[in-house]
Amino acid sequence: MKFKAFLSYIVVVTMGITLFIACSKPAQGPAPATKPPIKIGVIVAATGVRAGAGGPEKEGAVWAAEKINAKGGINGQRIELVIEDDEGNETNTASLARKLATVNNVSAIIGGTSIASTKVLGKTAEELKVPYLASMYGDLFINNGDKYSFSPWGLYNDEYTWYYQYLLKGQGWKKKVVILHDATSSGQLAAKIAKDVLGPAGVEVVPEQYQVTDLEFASTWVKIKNARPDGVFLYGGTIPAPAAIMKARMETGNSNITVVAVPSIATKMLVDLASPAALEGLVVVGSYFAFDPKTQPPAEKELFDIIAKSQGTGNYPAVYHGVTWDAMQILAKAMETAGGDREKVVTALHGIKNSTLTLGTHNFGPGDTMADHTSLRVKDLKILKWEKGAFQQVPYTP
Amino acid sequence: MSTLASIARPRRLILYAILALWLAFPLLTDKTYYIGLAITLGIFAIVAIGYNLVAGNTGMFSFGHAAFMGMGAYTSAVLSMKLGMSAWIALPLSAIVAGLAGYLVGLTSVRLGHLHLAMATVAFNIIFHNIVVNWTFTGGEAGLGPLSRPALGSLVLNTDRKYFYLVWFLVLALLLFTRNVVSGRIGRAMAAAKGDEIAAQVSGINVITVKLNAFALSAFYAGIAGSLLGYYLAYVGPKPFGTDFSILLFLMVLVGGFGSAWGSLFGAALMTFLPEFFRFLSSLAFIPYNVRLVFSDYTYNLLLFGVAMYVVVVYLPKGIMGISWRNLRLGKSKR
Amino acid sequence: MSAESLVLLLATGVTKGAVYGLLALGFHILYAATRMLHFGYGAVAVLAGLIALTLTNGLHFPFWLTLIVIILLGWAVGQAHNKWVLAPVRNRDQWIQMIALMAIGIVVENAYALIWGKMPKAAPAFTPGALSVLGAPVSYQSLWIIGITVVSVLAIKWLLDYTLMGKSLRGASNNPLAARLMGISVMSVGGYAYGISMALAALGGMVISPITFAGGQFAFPLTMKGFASLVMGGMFSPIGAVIGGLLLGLIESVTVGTIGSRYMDVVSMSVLLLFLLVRPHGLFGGE
Repeated sequence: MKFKAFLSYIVVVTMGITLFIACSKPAQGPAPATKPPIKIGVIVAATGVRAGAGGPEKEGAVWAAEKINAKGGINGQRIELVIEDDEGNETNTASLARKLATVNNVSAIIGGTSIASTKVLGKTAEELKVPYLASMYGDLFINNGDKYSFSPWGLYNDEYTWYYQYLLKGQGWKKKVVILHDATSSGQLAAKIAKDVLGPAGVEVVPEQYQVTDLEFASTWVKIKNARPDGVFLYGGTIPAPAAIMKARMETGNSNITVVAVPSIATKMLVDLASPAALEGLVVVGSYFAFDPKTQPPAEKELFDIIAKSQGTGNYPAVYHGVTWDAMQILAKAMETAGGDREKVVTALHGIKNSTLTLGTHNFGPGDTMADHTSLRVKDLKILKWEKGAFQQVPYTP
Repeated sequence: MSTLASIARPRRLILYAILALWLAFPLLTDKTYYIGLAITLGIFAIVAIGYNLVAGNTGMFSFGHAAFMGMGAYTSAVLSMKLGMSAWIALPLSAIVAGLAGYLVGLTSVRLGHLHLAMATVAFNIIFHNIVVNWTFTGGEAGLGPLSRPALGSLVLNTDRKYFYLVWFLVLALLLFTRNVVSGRIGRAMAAAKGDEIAAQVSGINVITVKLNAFALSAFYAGIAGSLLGYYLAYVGPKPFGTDFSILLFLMVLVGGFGSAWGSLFGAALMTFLPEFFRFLSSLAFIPYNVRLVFSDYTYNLLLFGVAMYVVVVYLPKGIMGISWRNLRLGKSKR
Repeated sequence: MSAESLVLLLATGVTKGAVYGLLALGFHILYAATRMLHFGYGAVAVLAGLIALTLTNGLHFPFWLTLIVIILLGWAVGQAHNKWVLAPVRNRDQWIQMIALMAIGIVVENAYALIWGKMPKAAPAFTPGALSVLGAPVSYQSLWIIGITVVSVLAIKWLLDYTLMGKSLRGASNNPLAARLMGISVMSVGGYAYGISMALAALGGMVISPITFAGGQFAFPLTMKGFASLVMGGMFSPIGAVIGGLLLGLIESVTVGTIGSRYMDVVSMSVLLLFLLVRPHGLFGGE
């Protein structure tokens, strides 16, 4: 027969099979002897430009699930994770979210690495009525009235205001500050908040935007040096750019310019790529982790121990580990009363109060405002400084 | 060059039956995942069919068409969000803007040979991506949103099911339109320009105009697809519109067969369903873990993608639609 | 702007420019001799950087040995390209060859990502430290890069002018048909061209990784910057290609140092487009 006709037969058969799978309902087997597992979906950018954040997010979720399962699961039900990689592309996020919700029938979804992916996930969660705990600040993606989207993190605005007030009070920067940020919208937002907070205090804010894929910052440091700032505020946790920035700072002889960076920068990879010498004097503002084994709260110690065990001593968790680690445990707590029922999970989440985990104490409110759906508030933030090859805590009272 | 007419009547009826089934399936399932896949397939098919006009029919291999898709998407986002325009007006306007952009890009590129054209179009894609990522007006990396779905009076296309019909209505309409263009005077002019420029020129065809129009038209299609994607996801970000997608687009049309609109649809389907097939394969427990990793890990997938691209361009340069049992080029190089 | 800043900007620009120049030179050889552009070129450079890192850090090879191995490896990869990758498509349309090369570039890029991981790695400088010029630190690595580039350019010039290989390359570049008639086979020209150009790519990858990083997802930007340098400097002039690279590096560093890095890619790509349209033979035209 003609090849094209042959082809059309193949197409028919394939489409028939696909349609069959699509329209079929799962078979009803005999009731299982043990309780069925609770399925939780995880969508992160495990590959792609944001893999530096997505990878730890995945690990945090996996370890938390393992920990809960080791203790017997949720009321005897094991957690079964369905993990998907959206590659940082929101088209994939939309598709994978639908898959998790309608094909894998998960009870809840965790994740979302980039802001675009998180927003798409949030929208899908509302549309398909699936509870969603993001790894993103609440005010960046939750709309008032959203029922299903939750943030186990805090409010971007509040935290960055706190950071900038540290610059004024803790560092004594009074005249000119360079805000070195990347092109993400949260980076641009960070620069805007700086202007709003530092401007009225009489500080000249100089935003300097770099591209996430930049690797070579010598020229940027020339520009910064010529601006003669009191210091540089470095926004950006997506390796490798921050590492390159610190390296260039040292190599261009600008180690005398103080750099204060956001907490997401404090990762082992930063140290590996930039070299400990280049980081000397780096200040990290607003860290959730205390790092010092003597002052660490037990929840934080637990996470540090797991990292040390799985990746070797000298390794420590990134903020991204903490977000999904906390999110999974919050979810598990909600499921203790709600089981795997999506609507009950949503109700139970509102009941999470004073739950102290690695990032801090989580409290969800009763209503459906953005604030009610965001659990963390700025309280116990710490200042770290890289000295003698480790992050040391620096005392500071706001 | 119609695939349909070359197939005998009873088989054509089967194809119509398939089409009917396809259009009905969203009503038969509530697994939004598959409907969502069909929507993205439709959107990619639209770009691919347009791209085929410029690459397949006119022989210009642009590697920057993702940028035109992005232009459509971002224009729609800006018009809808900042000017409050309804999607029904924003979409066609965005497509026209994309088409104009295509014309302008074409102005610079149509005289270039294959290699230089590739370089130039990639450069455009990078420029577009870079501007869109760094400009506050376009929302930086997070992009613009939320966009509300198009609405017909009180009927809002807010479920995948309803959106599916919008997308596929456009796919079919554009397929028919393309067929008419290709089999008409314009199409023959394109083929002439592709085949032998000098001969074409001598027969009175203004090769430059033909090429420019092809570019603009293909960009128009891409603009439609981009807007559709934007409204579907409710957010327009830069990630889907980089050079990665431009290369994927090329592969879609290559696999389908340059010059065949149906082939482009097929190519789009292959590229959309292949990752799903891989995902399915990676979940089969009886396959050893290492082999399964090949299907589940994105890096392995990309590697396979590169291999597939090589194999197809070497052994199947005319794509699926160009094969007949006789000319399956296994191991032979052109005499 | 202070003298110190100027020196820094110049040093950075010339360093980056030298690497771009190396890559552009490789592109030039390939294009002039075979009229082909390899979109997967950057992948070979990054691969070389990773291999160099493994040789130096993992196997503790001395610097000179790594250098020689990398150059030979580049040559070998070039031969492999010519013999195996292009074998089935040797007589086919230009675009088919271009796509085949692009496809192999994708394969190489993901292959090294699978072996070494997708995250970039820190590579040690050939000689750590810097010397002070007018108060600005100029790293020894920069000096190495500039030095290696100069030597390479001279070596290539010598190759082209005084060896049989070079003569056949130039012949193929000037008049491909005549060259074939003279008995210079396409295959052997291809072998020389790909061999030299890949060796240059490997060298470029090895010297730039201490300044940036080894590995990561930087293959494609490297390729495009190499193209931009080539088009700007002159597709048919080896010296032009290198100068094009230097110019591009300087344009980038000065732009970033004064205006900011926000739209740096736009700048370099716009330069590419400008020259493609207005002066496709570049500043130095060529033979």
